[in-house]
Amino acid sequence: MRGLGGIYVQQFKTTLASFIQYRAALVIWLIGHVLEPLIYLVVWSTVSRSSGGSVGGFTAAFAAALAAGGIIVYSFWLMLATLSFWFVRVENILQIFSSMYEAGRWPVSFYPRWLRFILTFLIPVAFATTVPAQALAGRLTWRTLAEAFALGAALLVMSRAFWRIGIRRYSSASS
Amino acid sequence: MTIPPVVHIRDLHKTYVVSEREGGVRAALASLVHRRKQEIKAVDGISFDLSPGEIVGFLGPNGAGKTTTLKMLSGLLHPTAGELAVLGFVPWKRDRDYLRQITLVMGQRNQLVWDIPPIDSFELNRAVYRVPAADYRRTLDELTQLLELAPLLKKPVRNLSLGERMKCEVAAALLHRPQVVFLDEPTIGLDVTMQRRIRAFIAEYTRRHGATVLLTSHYMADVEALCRRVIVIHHGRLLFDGDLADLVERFTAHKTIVLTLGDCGVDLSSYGEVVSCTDGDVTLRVPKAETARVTGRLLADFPVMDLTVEDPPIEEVIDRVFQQEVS
Repeated sequence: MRGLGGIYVQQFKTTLASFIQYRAALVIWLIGHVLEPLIYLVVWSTVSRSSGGSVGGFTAAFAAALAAGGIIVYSFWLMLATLSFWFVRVENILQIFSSMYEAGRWPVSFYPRWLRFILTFLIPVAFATTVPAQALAGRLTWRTLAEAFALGAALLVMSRAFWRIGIRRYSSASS
Repeated sequence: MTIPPVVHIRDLHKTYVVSEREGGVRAALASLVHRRKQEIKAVDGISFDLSPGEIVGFLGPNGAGKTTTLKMLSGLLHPTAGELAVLGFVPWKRDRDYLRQITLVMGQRNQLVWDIPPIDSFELNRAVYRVPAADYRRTLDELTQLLELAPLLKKPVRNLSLGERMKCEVAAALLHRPQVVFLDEPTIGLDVTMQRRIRAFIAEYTRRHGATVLLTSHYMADVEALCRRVIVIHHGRLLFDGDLADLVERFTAHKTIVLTLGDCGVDLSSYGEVVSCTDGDVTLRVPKAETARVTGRLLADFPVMDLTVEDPPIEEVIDRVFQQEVS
């Protein structure tokens, strides 16, 4: 297990090294992916407070909810990508997922019941976005968090199994 | 006691399913509804064994099934049928203890991370193969010295020339000291000098570490320099397995006689097929069995200044082998 961790650490270092190889690309990334969310966070916190709400939930539960969400999105994405062993090109499916992910920007409780069901279980973006947001707003229950982790664990096992089935079909292209 | 083979292949098959259609939009639309599938037998029942420490040339024209075989040997592909064992492992199970002992270098592929210096990719391979720090240091030093990598290790891979990159690719593939090395056209696209460097390195490396090598190349110089034994496949079937010298012997019916007469006006067509005549040097092609007789007659009949008898170049032999259909 220690060795496996070593691989991930080294992979992270390598990815990081490629990432910071080009200065311009790094600056653009910082603007788009770090600065922009930070601005949003500040703006919306202000809006929220001025209307009597509170954003104080930067707690361990928030981090945990984010982690669970990450696992869920990763597993789901892996399963969709694994479909390419059968269908060769699956970019379109991934695109649909991206659009659904956009829908997860708003709390799922906004949506009608049937859509809420889809966004929670069929395409589990609710857990990836709404649950961490609940944590931020201090409305997260332990039960929801446990459910998120249970779903994450289940999906992780499933996606791995699916991947292993898919890779048998791997036929590779050209030389 | 016989030593168990490193690579053991019996009646190996790999079939690909490929869809095909006529050209044009109409046919493209039709293929949405009904798809014509075709089975391609990329590897169609080949068998061979490799002994420890052997360097074997694996030859065949493009599309013969060489790369498919190498991919099955290294566990990338699942065979359709047949028996396959390397070092006693079943490759497609991708047992870690197996993968740690083999490597596959493909001249047309790269594993080095494009944007960053090779040394970072080496570090990644060290972690993947869990090479202890001391061993890694020693192997890297050795490879750096043998391949003269020192000036290359710190430049981004994208800034290296093809030859320089290939040297780094080979080094990256050997950091974990594999016992079995699969080389798929490692010298493709390289200039003669760089080809020779890579070749010399492979020879030196195997001499030092006793690795078993299966080498694919379209450059006969690679094969001649490194391999005593060659395996030839064509259309997924085994065509020849034996000494390179025997291959030449078996597939050449002719020898070439070059004689210096100082004159091109003489008609030699009764002695053999005149291939060319330049500056008084006549090149004759004669059936192998008659070489001695024709040579004797030529020497008796003409004022020959010089005479050599040669086997046709290995490229010509290979061309002849490739053009033969499997009997």
